Amino acid sequence: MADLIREAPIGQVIRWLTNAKYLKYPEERAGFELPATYNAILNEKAGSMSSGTPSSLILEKSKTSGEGIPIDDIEAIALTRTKSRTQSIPFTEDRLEIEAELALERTKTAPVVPQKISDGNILVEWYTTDDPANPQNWSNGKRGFVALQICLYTFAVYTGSAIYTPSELGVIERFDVSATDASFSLSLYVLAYDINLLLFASLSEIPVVGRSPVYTATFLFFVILSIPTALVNNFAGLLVLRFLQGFFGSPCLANGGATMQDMYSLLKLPYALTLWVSAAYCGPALGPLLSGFAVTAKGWRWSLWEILWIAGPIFILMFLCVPETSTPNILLRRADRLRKFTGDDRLRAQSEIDQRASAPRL
Amino acid sequence: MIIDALIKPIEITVKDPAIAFVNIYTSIVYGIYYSFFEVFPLVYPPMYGFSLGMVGVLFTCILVACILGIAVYVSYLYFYLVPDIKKHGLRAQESRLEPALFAAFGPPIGLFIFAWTAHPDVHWIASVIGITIYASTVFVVMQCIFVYVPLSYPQYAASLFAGNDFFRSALACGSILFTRPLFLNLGVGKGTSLLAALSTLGILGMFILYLMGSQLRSRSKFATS
Repeated sequence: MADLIREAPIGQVIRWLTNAKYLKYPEERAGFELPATYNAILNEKAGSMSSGTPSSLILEKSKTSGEGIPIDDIEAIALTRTKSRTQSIPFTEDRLEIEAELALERTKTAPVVPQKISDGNILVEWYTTDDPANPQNWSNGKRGFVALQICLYTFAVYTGSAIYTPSELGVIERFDVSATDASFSLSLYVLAYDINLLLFASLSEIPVVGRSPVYTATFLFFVILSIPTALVNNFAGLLVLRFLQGFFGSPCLANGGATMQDMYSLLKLPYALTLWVSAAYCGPALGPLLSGFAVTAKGWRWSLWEILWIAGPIFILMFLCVPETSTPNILLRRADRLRKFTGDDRLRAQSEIDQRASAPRL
Repeated sequence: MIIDALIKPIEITVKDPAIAFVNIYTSIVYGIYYSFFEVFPLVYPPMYGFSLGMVGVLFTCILVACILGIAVYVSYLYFYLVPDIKKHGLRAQESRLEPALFAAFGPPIGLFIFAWTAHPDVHWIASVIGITIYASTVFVVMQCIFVYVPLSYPQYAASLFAGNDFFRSALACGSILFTRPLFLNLGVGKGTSLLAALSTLGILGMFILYLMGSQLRSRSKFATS
Protein backbone atom coordinates (compact mmCIF):
# COMPACT_ATOMS: atom_id res chain seq x y z
CA MET A 1 0.00 0.00 0.00
CA ALA A 2 2.86 2.34 0.75
CA ASP A 3 4.16 1.54 -2.70
CA LEU A 4 0.91 2.60 -4.24
CA ILE A 5 0.90 5.93 -2.42
CA ARG A 6 4.50 6.59 -3.20
CA GLU A 7 3.95 6.04 -6.90
CA ALA A 8 0.74 8.04 -6.96
CA PRO A 9 0.83 11.79 -7.56
CA ILE A 10 0.45 12.53 -3.86
CA GLY A 11 3.55 10.50 -3.11
CA GLN A 12 5.54 12.31 -5.73
CA VAL A 13 4.39 15.66 -4.40
CA ILE A 14 5.34 14.69 -0.84
CA ARG A 15 8.74 13.54 -2.01
CA TRP A 16 9.29 16.74 -3.91
CA LEU A 17 8.22 18.92 -0.99
CA THR A 18 10.25 17.10 1.66
CA ASN A 19 13.21 16.47 -0.66
CA ALA A 20 12.68 12.72 -0.56
CA LYS A 21 12.78 12.44 3.20
CA TYR A 22 9.54 10.44 3.37
CA LEU A 23 8.30 7.68 1.10
CA LYS A 24 11.74 6.60 0.02
CA TYR A 25 12.36 4.22 -2.79
CA PRO A 26 14.40 1.12 -1.98
CA GLU A 27 17.42 2.69 -3.65
CA GLU A 28 17.31 5.66 -1.34
CA ARG A 29 17.01 3.84 1.94
CA ALA A 30 20.05 3.28 4.10
CA GLY A 31 21.47 -0.15 3.66
CA PHE A 32 20.44 -0.55 0.03
CA GLU A 33 22.81 -2.75 -1.84
CA LEU A 34 22.99 -2.81 -5.55
CA PRO A 35 21.94 -6.22 -6.83
CA ALA A 36 24.92 -8.47 -7.23
CA THR A 37 24.47 -8.67 -10.96
CA TYR A 38 24.89 -4.93 -11.30
CA ASN A 39 27.94 -4.86 -9.04
CA ALA A 40 29.59 -7.56 -11.05
CA ILE A 41 29.17 -5.68 -14.28
CA LEU A 42 30.15 -2.31 -12.86
CA ASN A 43 33.27 -3.68 -11.24
CA GLU A 44 34.49 -5.99 -13.92
CA LYS A 45 37.63 -5.08 -15.72
CA ALA A 46 37.22 -3.40 -19.03
CA GLY A 47 37.39 -5.73 -22.00
CA SER A 48 36.92 -8.97 -20.13
CA MET A 49 33.23 -9.35 -20.89
CA SER A 50 31.53 -9.69 -24.19
CA SER A 51 29.08 -6.96 -24.84
CA GLY A 52 25.79 -7.33 -26.59
CA THR A 53 23.92 -4.59 -28.35
CA PRO A 54 20.28 -4.15 -27.40
CA SER A 55 19.06 -5.05 -30.82
CA SER A 56 20.80 -8.39 -31.04
CA LEU A 57 19.50 -10.30 -28.07
CA ILE A 58 19.77 -14.01 -28.41
CA LEU A 59 17.72 -16.36 -26.33
CA GLU A 60 20.19 -18.91 -25.10
CA LYS A 61 18.61 -22.06 -23.88
CA SER A 62 20.30 -22.79 -20.63
CA LYS A 63 19.53 -22.86 -16.97
CA THR A 64 18.70 -19.62 -15.27
CA SER A 65 21.08 -18.75 -12.44
CA GLY A 66 19.73 -19.34 -8.95
CA GLU A 67 21.23 -18.69 -5.56
CA GLY A 68 24.77 -19.47 -4.55
CA ILE A 69 26.57 -18.87 -7.82
CA PRO A 70 30.00 -17.28 -7.56
CA ILE A 71 29.21 -13.75 -8.58
CA ASP A 72 32.53 -12.93 -10.19
CA ASP A 73 31.94 -15.83 -12.48
CA ILE A 74 28.97 -14.28 -14.20
CA GLU A 75 30.54 -14.20 -17.63
CA ALA A 76 30.99 -17.89 -17.42
CA ILE A 77 27.31 -18.55 -16.90
CA ALA A 78 25.09 -18.52 -19.91
CA LEU A 79 21.96 -16.89 -18.64
CA THR A 80 18.72 -16.84 -20.49
CA ARG A 81 17.79 -13.35 -21.34
CA THR A 82 14.28 -12.74 -22.52
CA LYS A 83 13.71 -9.70 -24.62
CA SER A 84 12.23 -6.84 -22.73
CA ARG A 85 8.53 -6.47 -23.32
CA THR A 86 8.76 -2.89 -24.44
CA GLN A 87 11.09 -3.83 -27.24
CA SER A 88 8.32 -5.62 -29.06
CA ILE A 89 5.44 -3.98 -30.82
CA PRO A 90 2.12 -4.61 -29.09
CA PHE A 91 -0.45 -6.89 -30.74
CA THR A 92 2.08 -9.00 -32.59
CA GLU A 93 3.13 -12.66 -32.35
CA ASP A 94 6.42 -11.37 -31.01
CA ARG A 95 4.76 -9.73 -28.04
CA LEU A 96 2.68 -12.85 -27.40
CA GLU A 97 5.77 -15.05 -27.22
CA ILE A 98 7.70 -12.67 -25.04
CA GLU A 99 4.85 -12.38 -22.62
CA ALA A 100 4.53 -16.14 -22.40
CA GLU A 101 8.22 -16.32 -21.50
CA LEU A 102 7.90 -13.54 -18.97
CA ALA A 103 4.89 -15.20 -17.41
CA LEU A 104 6.92 -18.33 -16.82
CA GLU A 105 9.84 -16.39 -15.41
CA ARG A 106 7.61 -14.41 -13.11
CA THR A 107 6.97 -17.48 -11.00
CA LYS A 108 10.53 -17.57 -9.76
CA THR A 109 12.60 -14.73 -8.38
CA ALA A 110 15.50 -14.87 -10.75
CA PRO A 111 17.78 -11.88 -11.08
CA VAL A 112 17.79 -10.09 -14.39
CA VAL A 113 21.30 -9.49 -15.56
CA PRO A 114 21.69 -5.96 -16.84
CA GLN A 115 22.96 -5.60 -20.35
CA LYS A 116 26.07 -3.87 -21.35
CA ILE A 117 25.79 -1.75 -24.44
CA SER A 118 28.51 -1.18 -26.96
CA ASP A 119 29.28 2.39 -25.90
CA GLY A 120 29.97 1.29 -22.34
CA ASN A 121 26.62 2.11 -20.80
CA ILE A 122 24.74 -0.37 -18.72
CA LEU A 123 21.05 -0.76 -19.30
CA VAL A 124 18.89 -0.37 -16.19
CA GLU A 125 16.12 -2.94 -16.13
CA TRP A 126 13.95 -4.69 -13.58
CA TYR A 127 15.98 -6.18 -10.77
CA THR A 128 14.34 -9.59 -10.78
CA THR A 129 11.86 -11.43 -12.92
CA ASP A 130 9.13 -10.74 -10.40
CA ASP A 131 10.17 -7.19 -9.58
CA PRO A 132 7.16 -5.58 -7.88
CA ALA A 133 7.90 -2.27 -9.58
CA ASN A 134 6.98 -3.76 -12.95
CA PRO A 135 3.29 -3.03 -13.60
CA GLN A 136 2.97 -6.41 -15.31
CA ASN A 137 3.96 -8.07 -12.04
CA TRP A 138 1.44 -6.34 -9.83
CA SER A 139 -1.12 -8.51 -8.12
CA ASN A 140 -4.54 -8.84 -9.68
CA GLY A 141 -6.02 -6.82 -6.84
CA LYS A 142 -3.69 -3.90 -7.37
CA ARG A 143 -4.13 -3.89 -11.13
CA GLY A 144 -7.86 -4.24 -10.73
CA PHE A 145 -7.93 -1.27 -8.38
CA VAL A 146 -5.98 0.92 -10.78
CA ALA A 147 -8.10 -0.23 -13.72
CA LEU A 148 -11.23 0.55 -11.71
CA GLN A 149 -10.03 4.07 -11.06
CA ILE A 150 -9.30 4.63 -14.73
CA CYS A 151 -12.79 3.35 -15.57
CA LEU A 152 -14.34 5.66 -12.98
CA TYR A 153 -12.35 8.57 -14.35
CA THR A 154 -13.50 7.78 -17.90
CA PHE A 155 -17.06 7.41 -16.66
CA ALA A 156 -16.93 10.79 -14.93
CA VAL A 157 -15.69 12.58 -18.03
CA TYR A 158 -18.17 10.90 -20.38
CA THR A 159 -21.06 11.43 -18.00
CA GLY A 160 -20.14 15.09 -18.00
CA SER A 161 -21.03 15.24 -21.66
CA ALA A 162 -24.62 14.05 -21.59
CA ILE A 163 -25.54 15.05 -18.07
CA TYR A 164 -26.21 18.45 -19.54
CA THR A 165 -29.05 17.25 -21.80
CA PRO A 166 -31.96 17.76 -19.39
CA SER A 167 -30.76 21.31 -18.78
CA GLU A 168 -31.24 22.32 -22.36
CA LEU A 169 -34.76 23.59 -21.78
CA GLY A 170 -33.56 25.65 -18.85
CA VAL A 171 -30.74 27.10 -20.92
CA ILE A 172 -33.09 28.00 -23.76
CA GLU A 173 -35.25 29.89 -21.30
CA ARG A 174 -32.46 31.55 -19.39
CA PHE A 175 -30.29 32.72 -22.27
CA ASP A 176 -33.00 33.03 -24.90
CA VAL A 177 -31.30 30.85 -27.51
CA SER A 178 -32.65 28.24 -29.91
CA ALA A 179 -32.71 24.51 -29.19
CA THR A 180 -29.89 23.86 -31.60
CA ASP A 181 -27.75 26.42 -29.84
CA ALA A 182 -28.44 24.79 -26.51
CA SER A 183 -27.35 21.41 -27.82
CA PHE A 184 -24.24 23.09 -29.18
CA SER A 185 -22.95 23.08 -25.65
CA LEU A 186 -23.08 19.28 -25.64
CA SER A 187 -21.52 18.94 -29.06
CA LEU A 188 -18.68 21.34 -28.24
CA TYR A 189 -17.76 19.20 -25.25
CA VAL A 190 -17.69 16.10 -27.45
CA LEU A 191 -15.68 17.91 -30.11
CA ALA A 192 -13.16 19.21 -27.61
CA TYR A 193 -12.25 15.89 -26.17
CA ASP A 194 -11.57 14.49 -29.55
CA ILE A 195 -9.48 17.22 -31.08
CA ASN A 196 -7.01 17.01 -28.24
CA LEU A 197 -6.70 13.23 -28.22
CA LEU A 198 -3.77 13.27 -30.56
CA LEU A 199 -1.97 15.80 -28.43
CA PHE A 200 -2.35 14.03 -25.11
CA ALA A 201 -1.65 10.58 -26.47
CA SER A 202 1.73 11.60 -27.82
CA LEU A 203 2.47 13.59 -24.67
CA SER A 204 2.16 10.64 -22.36
CA GLU A 205 4.35 8.48 -24.58
CA ILE A 206 7.30 10.77 -23.83
CA PRO A 207 9.20 8.81 -21.15
CA VAL A 208 10.05 11.83 -19.01
CA VAL A 209 6.40 12.75 -18.70
CA GLY A 210 4.73 9.40 -18.12
CA ARG A 211 1.03 8.99 -17.56
CA SER A 212 0.28 10.30 -14.07
CA PRO A 213 1.21 13.95 -14.66
CA VAL A 214 -1.03 14.09 -17.70
CA TYR A 215 -4.00 12.55 -15.88
CA THR A 216 -3.57 14.55 -12.71
CA ALA A 217 -2.98 17.95 -14.26
CA THR A 218 -5.78 17.73 -16.80
CA PHE A 219 -8.31 16.27 -14.42
CA LEU A 220 -7.48 18.95 -11.87
CA PHE A 221 -8.25 21.60 -14.47
CA PHE A 222 -11.40 19.73 -15.38
CA VAL A 223 -12.60 19.81 -11.78
CA ILE A 224 -11.66 23.45 -11.30
CA LEU A 225 -13.38 24.46 -14.54
CA SER A 226 -16.58 22.74 -13.47
CA ILE A 227 -17.11 25.50 -10.93
CA PRO A 228 -17.32 28.47 -13.32
CA THR A 229 -19.30 26.32 -15.76
CA ALA A 230 -22.01 25.94 -13.16
CA LEU A 231 -21.97 29.62 -12.23
CA VAL A 232 -21.64 31.30 -15.62
CA ASN A 233 -24.13 33.95 -16.57
CA ASN A 234 -23.81 34.34 -20.31
CA PHE A 235 -24.21 31.83 -23.07
CA ALA A 236 -20.90 32.43 -24.81
CA GLY A 237 -19.14 31.81 -21.52
CA LEU A 238 -21.01 28.55 -21.10
CA LEU A 239 -19.93 27.38 -24.54
CA VAL A 240 -16.30 28.29 -23.96
CA LEU A 241 -16.19 26.63 -20.56
CA ARG A 242 -17.83 23.46 -21.86
CA PHE A 243 -15.27 23.33 -24.65
CA LEU A 244 -12.46 23.71 -22.12
CA GLN A 245 -13.99 21.03 -19.92
CA GLY A 246 -13.98 18.67 -22.83
CA PHE A 247 -10.42 19.68 -23.67
CA PHE A 248 -9.18 18.80 -20.21
CA GLY A 249 -11.20 15.64 -20.11
CA SER A 250 -9.68 14.05 -23.18
CA PRO A 251 -6.70 12.17 -21.69
CA CYS A 252 -9.04 9.55 -20.29
CA LEU A 253 -9.89 8.46 -23.80
CA ALA A 254 -6.40 8.94 -25.17
CA ASN A 255 -4.41 7.22 -22.46
CA GLY A 256 -6.85 4.91 -20.70
CA GLY A 257 -6.20 2.18 -23.21
CA ALA A 258 -2.46 2.69 -22.93
CA THR A 259 -2.62 2.37 -19.15
CA MET A 260 -4.49 -0.91 -19.49
CA GLN A 261 -1.86 -2.09 -21.94
CA ASP A 262 0.91 -1.25 -19.47
CA MET A 263 -0.60 -3.39 -16.77
CA TYR A 264 -2.13 -6.33 -18.59
CA SER A 265 -0.53 -8.78 -20.98
CA LEU A 266 -1.98 -9.34 -24.42
CA LEU A 267 -4.16 -12.29 -23.44
CA LYS A 268 -5.78 -10.55 -20.49
CA LEU A 269 -5.97 -7.18 -22.20
CA PRO A 270 -9.27 -7.68 -24.06
CA TYR A 271 -11.13 -8.08 -20.76
CA ALA A 272 -9.65 -4.92 -19.29
CA LEU A 273 -10.32 -2.98 -22.47
CA THR A 274 -13.91 -4.25 -22.64
CA LEU A 275 -14.56 -2.94 -19.15
CA TRP A 276 -12.96 0.39 -19.93
CA VAL A 277 -14.90 0.80 -23.17
CA SER A 278 -18.13 -0.02 -21.39
CA ALA A 279 -17.41 2.71 -18.84
CA ALA A 280 -17.01 5.10 -21.76
CA TYR A 281 -20.12 3.72 -23.42
CA CYS A 282 -22.42 3.90 -20.41
CA GLY A 283 -21.21 7.32 -19.37
CA PRO A 284 -23.27 9.38 -21.79
CA ALA A 285 -26.21 7.05 -21.31
CA LEU A 286 -26.39 7.48 -17.56
CA GLY A 287 -25.85 11.23 -17.70
CA PRO A 288 -29.46 12.21 -18.36
CA LEU A 289 -30.60 9.72 -15.75
CA LEU A 290 -28.44 11.35 -13.12
CA SER A 291 -29.65 14.84 -13.75
CA GLY A 292 -33.15 14.40 -15.21
CA PHE A 293 -35.22 14.57 -12.06
CA ALA A 294 -32.78 16.88 -10.33
CA VAL A 295 -33.02 19.49 -13.05
CA THR A 296 -36.80 19.42 -12.98
CA ALA A 297 -36.77 19.96 -9.24
CA LYS A 298 -33.83 22.27 -8.75
CA GLY A 299 -33.14 24.18 -11.93
CA TRP A 300 -30.89 23.82 -14.93
CA ARG A 301 -27.62 24.63 -13.18
CA TRP A 302 -27.92 21.52 -11.04
CA SER A 303 -26.65 19.19 -13.75
CA LEU A 304 -23.48 21.21 -14.11
CA TRP A 305 -22.93 21.08 -10.36
CA GLU A 306 -23.32 17.31 -10.54
CA ILE A 307 -20.32 17.17 -12.84
CA LEU A 308 -18.27 18.73 -10.05
CA TRP A 309 -19.64 16.32 -7.49
CA ILE A 310 -18.85 13.29 -9.60
CA ALA A 311 -15.44 14.46 -10.74
CA GLY A 312 -14.21 15.90 -7.44
CA PRO A 313 -14.08 12.73 -5.30
CA ILE A 314 -12.78 10.71 -8.22
CA PHE A 315 -9.98 13.22 -8.64
CA ILE A 316 -9.08 12.96 -4.98
CA LEU A 317 -9.09 9.18 -5.22
CA MET A 318 -6.89 9.30 -8.30
CA PHE A 319 -4.52 11.76 -6.71
CA LEU A 320 -4.07 9.45 -3.77
CA CYS A 321 -4.07 6.09 -5.44
CA VAL A 322 -3.20 5.95 -9.14
CA PRO A 323 0.43 4.94 -9.59
CA GLU A 324 2.61 5.59 -12.56
CA THR A 325 2.25 2.72 -14.99
CA SER A 326 4.43 3.72 -17.92
CA THR A 327 7.42 1.36 -18.00
CA PRO A 328 9.86 3.78 -19.70
CA ASN A 329 9.09 6.38 -17.07
CA ILE A 330 9.55 4.00 -14.12
CA LEU A 331 12.87 2.77 -15.47
CA LEU A 332 14.04 6.29 -16.26
CA ARG A 333 13.50 7.40 -12.68
CA ARG A 334 15.11 4.24 -11.38
CA ALA A 335 18.19 4.87 -13.53
CA ASP A 336 18.34 8.38 -12.08
CA ARG A 337 18.25 7.06 -8.52
CA LEU A 338 20.86 4.41 -9.25
CA ARG A 339 23.15 6.99 -10.76
CA LYS A 340 22.80 9.07 -7.62
CA PHE A 341 23.43 6.04 -5.45
CA THR A 342 26.48 4.69 -7.22
CA GLY A 343 27.84 7.88 -8.69
CA ASP A 344 28.40 5.87 -11.84
CA ASP A 345 27.26 7.57 -14.97
CA ARG A 346 27.15 4.48 -17.09
CA LEU A 347 23.77 3.34 -15.79
CA ARG A 348 21.21 4.44 -18.33
CA ALA A 349 17.60 3.65 -19.04
CA GLN A 350 16.53 2.49 -22.48
CA SER A 351 14.62 5.70 -23.16
CA GLU A 352 17.71 7.83 -22.50
CA ILE A 353 19.72 5.71 -24.89
CA ASP A 354 17.03 5.97 -27.54
CA GLN A 355 16.83 9.68 -27.04
CA ARG A 356 20.54 10.11 -27.38
CA ALA A 357 20.55 7.96 -30.46
CA SER A 358 17.90 10.09 -32.09
CA ALA A 359 19.33 13.43 -31.01
CA PRO A 360 21.38 15.18 -33.66
CA ARG A 361 25.07 14.80 -33.18
CA LEU A 362 26.97 18.05 -33.33
CA MET B 1 7.20 14.82 -33.69
CA ILE B 2 3.90 16.27 -32.55
CA ILE B 3 3.00 17.36 -36.07
CA ASP B 4 3.84 13.87 -37.24
CA ALA B 5 1.60 12.38 -34.60
CA LEU B 6 -1.20 14.68 -35.65
CA ILE B 7 -0.96 13.98 -39.35
CA LYS B 8 -0.32 10.24 -39.25
CA PRO B 9 -3.83 9.08 -38.40
CA ILE B 10 -5.36 11.21 -41.13
CA GLU B 11 -2.77 10.01 -43.59
CA ILE B 12 -3.54 6.39 -42.83
CA THR B 13 -7.27 6.99 -43.14
CA VAL B 14 -6.90 8.57 -46.53
CA LYS B 15 -4.49 6.03 -47.95
CA ASP B 16 -5.92 2.83 -46.58
CA PRO B 17 -9.46 1.80 -47.57
CA ALA B 18 -9.96 -0.66 -44.74
CA ILE B 19 -9.18 1.99 -42.15
CA ALA B 20 -11.28 4.53 -44.00
CA PHE B 21 -14.23 2.16 -43.86
CA VAL B 22 -13.67 1.39 -40.19
CA ASN B 23 -13.48 5.06 -39.31
CA ILE B 24 -16.55 6.01 -41.30
CA TYR B 25 -18.63 3.12 -40.00
CA THR B 26 -17.77 3.64 -36.36
CA SER B 27 -18.33 7.36 -36.77
CA ILE B 28 -21.80 6.80 -38.17
CA VAL B 29 -22.92 4.37 -35.48
CA TYR B 30 -21.39 6.44 -32.72
CA GLY B 31 -22.95 9.59 -34.11
CA ILE B 32 -26.34 7.90 -34.17
CA TYR B 33 -25.77 6.84 -30.56
CA TYR B 34 -25.27 10.46 -29.56
CA SER B 35 -28.28 11.52 -31.56
CA PHE B 36 -30.51 9.57 -29.16
CA PHE B 37 -30.05 12.37 -26.70
CA GLU B 38 -31.89 14.60 -29.09
CA VAL B 39 -34.50 12.10 -30.24
CA PHE B 40 -35.80 10.87 -26.94
CA PRO B 41 -37.19 14.22 -25.83
CA LEU B 42 -38.96 14.45 -29.20
CA VAL B 43 -40.55 11.03 -28.97
CA TYR B 44 -41.44 10.12 -25.43
CA PRO B 45 -42.81 13.28 -23.82
CA PRO B 46 -45.19 14.19 -26.65
CA MET B 47 -46.30 10.68 -27.54
CA TYR B 48 -46.43 8.98 -24.16
CA GLY B 49 -46.53 11.84 -21.71
CA PHE B 50 -43.17 11.14 -20.07
CA SER B 51 -41.67 13.82 -17.88
CA LEU B 52 -38.10 14.97 -18.41
CA GLY B 53 -36.84 12.88 -15.54
CA MET B 54 -38.52 9.76 -16.90
CA VAL B 55 -36.79 10.30 -20.24
CA GLY B 56 -33.55 10.11 -18.31
CA VAL B 57 -34.68 6.82 -16.76
CA LEU B 58 -35.31 5.49 -20.25
CA PHE B 59 -31.60 5.71 -20.87
CA THR B 60 -31.05 2.79 -18.55
CA CYS B 61 -31.94 0.69 -21.58
CA ILE B 62 -28.48 1.52 -22.86
CA LEU B 63 -27.03 0.20 -19.62
CA VAL B 64 -28.96 -3.03 -20.19
CA ALA B 65 -27.67 -3.10 -23.75
CA CYS B 66 -24.13 -2.61 -22.54
CA ILE B 67 -24.47 -5.50 -20.10
CA LEU B 68 -25.84 -7.71 -22.87
CA GLY B 69 -23.02 -6.66 -25.18
CA ILE B 70 -20.41 -7.33 -22.50
CA ALA B 71 -21.94 -10.75 -21.77
CA VAL B 72 -21.88 -11.74 -25.42
CA TYR B 73 -18.43 -10.39 -26.12
CA VAL B 74 -16.70 -11.58 -22.96
CA SER B 75 -18.10 -15.08 -23.42
CA TYR B 76 -16.82 -14.99 -27.00
CA LEU B 77 -13.41 -13.96 -25.66
CA TYR B 78 -13.36 -16.48 -22.85
CA PHE B 79 -14.72 -19.51 -24.64
CA TYR B 80 -13.41 -18.95 -28.11
CA LEU B 81 -10.85 -16.24 -28.75
CA VAL B 82 -8.31 -16.59 -25.94
CA PRO B 83 -8.10 -20.40 -26.18
CA ASP B 84 -7.76 -19.97 -29.93
CA ILE B 85 -4.86 -17.56 -29.55
CA LYS B 86 -3.22 -19.87 -27.04
CA LYS B 87 -3.51 -22.82 -29.39
CA HIS B 88 -2.86 -21.27 -32.78
CA GLY B 89 -1.20 -17.97 -32.07
CA LEU B 90 -2.48 -14.85 -33.72
CA ARG B 91 -4.23 -16.03 -36.86
CA ALA B 92 -5.50 -14.13 -39.84
CA GLN B 93 -6.98 -11.01 -38.44
CA GLU B 94 -10.20 -11.36 -40.34
CA SER B 95 -11.25 -14.20 -38.09
CA ARG B 96 -11.52 -11.62 -35.31
CA LEU B 97 -14.35 -10.00 -37.22
CA GLU B 98 -16.67 -12.98 -37.02
CA PRO B 99 -18.84 -11.67 -34.18
CA ALA B 100 -19.04 -8.36 -35.98
CA LEU B 101 -20.52 -10.07 -39.02
CA PHE B 102 -23.49 -11.13 -36.92
CA ALA B 103 -23.62 -7.97 -34.90
CA ALA B 104 -23.48 -5.72 -37.97
CA PHE B 105 -27.11 -6.62 -38.65
CA GLY B 106 -28.11 -5.27 -35.28
CA PRO B 107 -27.95 -1.50 -35.83
CA PRO B 108 -30.32 -1.41 -38.83
CA ILE B 109 -32.71 -3.84 -37.14
CA GLY B 110 -32.77 -1.86 -33.93
CA LEU B 111 -33.18 1.45 -35.68
CA PHE B 112 -35.99 0.26 -37.92
CA ILE B 113 -37.80 -1.14 -34.90
CA PHE B 114 -37.42 2.18 -33.14
CA ALA B 115 -38.47 4.16 -36.21
CA TRP B 116 -41.77 2.42 -36.74
CA THR B 117 -42.84 1.61 -33.18
CA ALA B 118 -42.36 5.14 -31.88
CA HIS B 119 -46.04 5.84 -32.21
CA PRO B 120 -48.64 6.68 -29.60
CA ASP B 121 -50.60 3.52 -30.43
CA VAL B 122 -47.68 1.21 -29.71
CA HIS B 123 -46.45 0.60 -26.16
CA TRP B 124 -43.24 2.47 -25.47
CA ILE B 125 -41.33 -0.68 -24.55
CA ALA B 126 -41.25 -1.69 -28.22
CA SER B 127 -39.17 1.28 -29.28
CA VAL B 128 -36.97 0.88 -26.22
CA ILE B 129 -36.30 -2.70 -27.27
CA GLY B 130 -35.23 -1.37 -30.62
CA ILE B 131 -32.76 0.97 -28.97
CA THR B 132 -31.44 -1.83 -26.80
CA ILE B 133 -30.81 -4.03 -29.82
CA TYR B 134 -29.03 -1.14 -31.48
CA ALA B 135 -26.85 -0.30 -28.52
CA SER B 136 -25.80 -3.85 -27.69
CA THR B 137 -24.86 -4.77 -31.24
CA VAL B 138 -22.99 -1.50 -31.73
CA PHE B 139 -20.98 -2.35 -28.62
CA VAL B 140 -20.03 -5.77 -29.99
CA VAL B 141 -19.16 -4.37 -33.44
CA MET B 142 -16.98 -1.66 -32.00
CA GLN B 143 -15.15 -4.09 -29.75
CA CYS B 144 -14.45 -6.38 -32.69
CA ILE B 145 -13.16 -3.49 -34.74
CA PHE B 146 -10.97 -2.37 -31.87
CA VAL B 147 -9.42 -5.81 -31.79
CA TYR B 148 -9.08 -6.07 -35.57
CA VAL B 149 -7.41 -2.72 -36.15
CA PRO B 150 -4.40 -3.07 -33.82
CA LEU B 151 -3.85 -6.67 -34.90
CA SER B 152 -3.68 -5.60 -38.51
CA TYR B 153 -1.60 -2.49 -38.02
CA PRO B 154 0.53 -3.10 -34.97
CA GLN B 155 3.02 -0.31 -35.39
CA TYR B 156 0.39 2.32 -35.86
CA ALA B 157 -2.11 1.08 -33.30
CA ALA B 158 -1.88 4.18 -31.15
CA SER B 159 -2.23 6.55 -34.10
CA LEU B 160 -5.11 4.55 -35.47
CA PHE B 161 -7.02 4.65 -32.23
CA ALA B 162 -6.39 8.34 -32.01
CA GLY B 163 -7.58 8.85 -35.57
CA ASN B 164 -10.66 6.70 -35.02
CA ASP B 165 -11.55 8.61 -31.88
CA PHE B 166 -11.05 11.84 -33.75
CA PHE B 167 -13.47 10.93 -36.54
CA ARG B 168 -15.96 9.41 -34.16
CA SER B 169 -16.14 12.38 -31.88
CA ALA B 170 -16.19 14.82 -34.77
CA LEU B 171 -19.20 13.12 -36.26
CA ALA B 172 -20.82 12.74 -32.83
CA CYS B 173 -20.47 16.47 -32.37
CA GLY B 174 -22.09 17.05 -35.74
CA SER B 175 -24.84 14.52 -35.28
CA ILE B 176 -26.05 16.13 -32.07
CA LEU B 177 -26.62 19.25 -34.10
CA PHE B 178 -28.20 17.83 -37.20
CA THR B 179 -30.57 15.28 -35.73
CA ARG B 180 -33.00 17.70 -34.20
CA PRO B 181 -33.82 19.44 -37.51
CA LEU B 182 -33.74 16.02 -39.19
CA PHE B 183 -36.40 14.63 -36.90
CA LEU B 184 -38.48 17.76 -36.88
CA ASN B 185 -38.59 17.93 -40.65
CA LEU B 186 -38.87 14.28 -41.59
CA GLY B 187 -40.69 12.97 -38.57
CA VAL B 188 -39.29 10.32 -36.30
CA GLY B 189 -40.21 7.38 -38.51
CA LYS B 190 -38.61 8.56 -41.70
CA GLY B 191 -35.71 10.26 -39.99
CA THR B 192 -34.65 7.16 -38.12
CA SER B 193 -35.13 5.07 -41.23
CA LEU B 194 -32.66 7.31 -42.98
CA LEU B 195 -30.10 6.65 -40.28
CA ALA B 196 -30.92 2.94 -40.34
CA ALA B 197 -30.31 2.84 -44.08
CA LEU B 198 -26.88 4.42 -43.58
CA SER B 199 -25.94 1.77 -41.09
CA THR B 200 -27.17 -0.93 -43.49
CA LEU B 201 -24.34 0.04 -45.78
CA GLY B 202 -22.16 -0.91 -42.87
CA ILE B 203 -23.29 -4.53 -43.12
CA LEU B 204 -22.11 -4.61 -46.69
CA GLY B 205 -18.84 -2.99 -45.79
CA MET B 206 -18.26 -5.39 -42.91
CA PHE B 207 -18.68 -8.40 -45.20
CA ILE B 208 -16.37 -6.88 -47.77
CA LEU B 209 -13.81 -6.26 -45.05
CA TYR B 210 -14.09 -9.84 -43.86
CA LEU B 211 -13.81 -11.40 -47.29
CA MET B 212 -11.27 -9.09 -48.86
CA GLY B 213 -9.42 -7.89 -45.81
CA SER B 214 -6.27 -9.84 -46.44
CA GLN B 215 -6.05 -8.54 -49.99
CA LEU B 216 -6.59 -4.99 -48.86
CA ARG B 217 -3.91 -5.38 -46.27
CA SER B 218 -1.36 -6.79 -48.65
CA ARG B 219 -1.82 -3.77 -50.85
CA SER B 220 -1.64 -1.37 -47.94
CA LYS B 221 1.61 0.27 -46.98
CA PHE B 222 0.82 0.32 -43.31
CA ALA B 223 -0.41 -3.14 -42.52
CA THR B 224 1.33 -6.34 -41.69
CA SER B 225 -0.02 -9.28 -43.65
